[in-house]
Amino acid sequence: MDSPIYHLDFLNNRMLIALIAIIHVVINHGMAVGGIPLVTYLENKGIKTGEAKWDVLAKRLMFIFFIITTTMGAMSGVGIWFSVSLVNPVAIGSLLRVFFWAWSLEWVVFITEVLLILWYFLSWKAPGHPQKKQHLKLGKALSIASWITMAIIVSILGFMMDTGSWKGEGSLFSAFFNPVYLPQLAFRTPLALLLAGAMALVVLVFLYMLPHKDELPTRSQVLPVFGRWMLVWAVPLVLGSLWYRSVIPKYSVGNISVAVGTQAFSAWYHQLMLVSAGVSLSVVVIAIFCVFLPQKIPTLVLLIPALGLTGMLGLFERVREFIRKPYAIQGYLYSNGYRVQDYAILNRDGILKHSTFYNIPKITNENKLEAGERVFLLACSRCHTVSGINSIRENVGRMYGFSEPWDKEKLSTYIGSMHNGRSFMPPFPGNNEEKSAVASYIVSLQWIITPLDGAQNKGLLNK
Amino acid sequence: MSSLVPRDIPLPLPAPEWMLQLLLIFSFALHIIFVNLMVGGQIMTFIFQCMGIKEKKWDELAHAIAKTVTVNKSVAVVLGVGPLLCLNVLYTSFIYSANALTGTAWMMLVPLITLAFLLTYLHKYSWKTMSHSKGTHIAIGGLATALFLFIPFIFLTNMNLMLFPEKWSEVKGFLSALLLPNVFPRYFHFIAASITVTALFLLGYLGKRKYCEDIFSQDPDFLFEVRRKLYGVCFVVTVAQFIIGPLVLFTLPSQGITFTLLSFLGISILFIAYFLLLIYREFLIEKPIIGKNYARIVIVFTVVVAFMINIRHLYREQALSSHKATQQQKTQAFVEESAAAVIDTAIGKKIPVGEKGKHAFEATCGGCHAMDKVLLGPPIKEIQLIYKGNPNGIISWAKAPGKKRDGMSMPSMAHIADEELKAIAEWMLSTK
Repeated sequence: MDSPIYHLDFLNNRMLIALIAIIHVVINHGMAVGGIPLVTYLENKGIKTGEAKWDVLAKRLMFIFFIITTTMGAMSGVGIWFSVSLVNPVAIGSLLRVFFWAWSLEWVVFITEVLLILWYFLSWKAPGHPQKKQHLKLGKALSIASWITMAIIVSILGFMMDTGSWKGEGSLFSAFFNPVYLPQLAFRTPLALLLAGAMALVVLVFLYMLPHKDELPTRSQVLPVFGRWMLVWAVPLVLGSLWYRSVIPKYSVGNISVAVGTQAFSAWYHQLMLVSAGVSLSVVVIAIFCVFLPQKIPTLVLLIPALGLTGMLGLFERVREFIRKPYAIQGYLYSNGYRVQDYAILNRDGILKHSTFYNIPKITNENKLEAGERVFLLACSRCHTVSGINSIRENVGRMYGFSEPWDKEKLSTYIGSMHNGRSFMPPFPGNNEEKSAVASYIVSLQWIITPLDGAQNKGLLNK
Repeated sequence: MSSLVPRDIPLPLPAPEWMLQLLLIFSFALHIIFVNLMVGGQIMTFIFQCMGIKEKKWDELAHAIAKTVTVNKSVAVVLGVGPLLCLNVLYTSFIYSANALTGTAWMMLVPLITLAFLLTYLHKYSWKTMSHSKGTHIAIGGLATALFLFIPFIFLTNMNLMLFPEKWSEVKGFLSALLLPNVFPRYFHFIAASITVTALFLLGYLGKRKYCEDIFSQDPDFLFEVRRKLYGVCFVVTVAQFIIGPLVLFTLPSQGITFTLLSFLGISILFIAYFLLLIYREFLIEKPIIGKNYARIVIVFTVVVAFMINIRHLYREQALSSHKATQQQKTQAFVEESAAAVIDTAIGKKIPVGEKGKHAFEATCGGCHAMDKVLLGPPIKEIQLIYKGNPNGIISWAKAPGKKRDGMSMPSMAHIADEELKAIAEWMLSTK
């Protein structure tokens, strides 16, 4: 597909998606998939012990989760869709056609989930109410519905990493049960539950600052409960992450060290791994302290697990997004939005010839820079900016030096083979004239920075 | 200019087109009703709360309506996923093009709607605690109302823009797309519909549910006053639609209008007239009761909504029909040409046996290594001196490169097959 190109030249298109996606995944995992079971557990505890304070805690925790999930949670989910369809319409359009019925099912579960969350929260029964047990059932049903919405979407994420037998069979079934699916689900489920415990600690700190805090259980009553909750889910999380790591497609594993940082930070891979291990360890240590020495923990320390896990989750999603490169859909579509099988015709005729909105019939000396800019927009701008995040000037400057003039012949040759050296990059999709045009364009940016505008500012180029 | 229609995604539709269209019409109807309730509810909350400054009872009514808004808004969002899904699959490149051309505004929808939602919660849950700072409280509701009144412009602009590829080249950003002829009439049509839908909903809701009874328990006549007001609002707004409606029709580019569409419109006007008659009769009653007449009104209105949504769809299909045909042709031609090119290149690619290493070197290493000059890495001549008679040395270095020189270090070539690496290493040592 060749729709107009949306481009953010400072923030970087991928960063836009990443920022929204991280917000969504933290809220979804921590406050819905993991959070609702935790609230239900606390409500049940209130019924079993006959102590109203657990019910008050459950309800107040639910209030916070309710407000956040039905505003930022829901809208950031829509936001992922909106941002992806702006940045890589071919990828999302293709995924929608393959997974239409899975997504439709997701929609039905999603409606159920929203109706249940409204019902569960708005019909909260006071302890001792004759219908209290029925109300608890709503919590259980909601927990299941929340988990199913995640279980469906994770399949699509897995498909992007490894399409499995879909390319041969083309069926929804073969796409849905791709090789990465179940391991990733086994990893995400305990992660969500663990994250919920960490989030609950943060909410607890907040709830203790509000009026009527004496209706809540005391610190030394709550912290052991949350601590135990986190420790219980840490074990399956470790097993799940090992299984998940073992099925990441072989070609992707080599990308991990670059994925963890940016290219420039790939050397820090081991340090970052150490930091991650440190975060995991501190989460476990804090959980153990919560269980055995709840009085000894300074309040600020209670915020650490949520912050640490959010950071880890961000890192994990970044790695997941990165290691499927150079593809958007493994083996089918490159991350630049071009289908693998169209490379023959594009390499032969050029991408400009087959573009509806950026077409230039013939590259001449006069229009070379303009053609180069258009090639850059079509082939490079999904991941690179001119001078913002992952800027092409930075990257080329690091290779050839910032002060010496860049050589467009060298750069053009490099563009032709960069995908071999940097296996996360797709091969250049255009022909030789375009390679040389985009090299000239990039070289022209060394001294004069001209920001690159997307269709949202500039409109269409061909009238 | 039909040539400015982009190609489609070359994957088959997941279901027959008619089925997807049916699903779109049905799911969109559900979605838009709740959007109407959300927007109309927020507008009424604001108006009644302002009226409540003088008379407390209107303030309580506003509070009861505010409680419906926060529920309806969640349902509206989740019901929007279905139609968006169908729209993306059916009109893929049309909607994505419209989105990209208004990208900044389209993306702003997310924070704007989130903010509007958070404000409605704040407004609802602070009703009692802020009863002593009413001005600020009304301002919070007012801000939420203003957001709800602005947000539809972004949606309408996109839905309008996707219908007219011939206008795409004139568009520079959201504002210019907003100013295309049809957006404003459609906007007022939508706001008026929101008020009617909400008024009808509230007629059935108020006084029936336990949530609202305490408002009316002190003053039972207030309920009748509210009902008459709501019927009155329905009547006036629907009469106004007789001006807004034709404006929508006449500002629509004519290529989408067909006789089927006009006859649908004709029939629906008859139903609207009947609807007006029914609500006028209720309005005249001093103490209107919600019973059979109300049910009839709701049924007639549902028929009108069904017609309107179908008319909307008919227009879209007709306006896009020629573009869709062009697109299909273009996509088909490209797919065939692309497949032919794959075969051509496969034939052209047959490499003579002895030259495998040379070709692989050029493709894989040539970006950084040349015969006798430094590109990024050292020249072959230098490598030959180091690894003379030792191709395996080159292979193991390439798989796990160290760092000997200043500048960029070499990336690992471990992803390249051993056989290919061997051919490359041998060629590198033998070439002159």
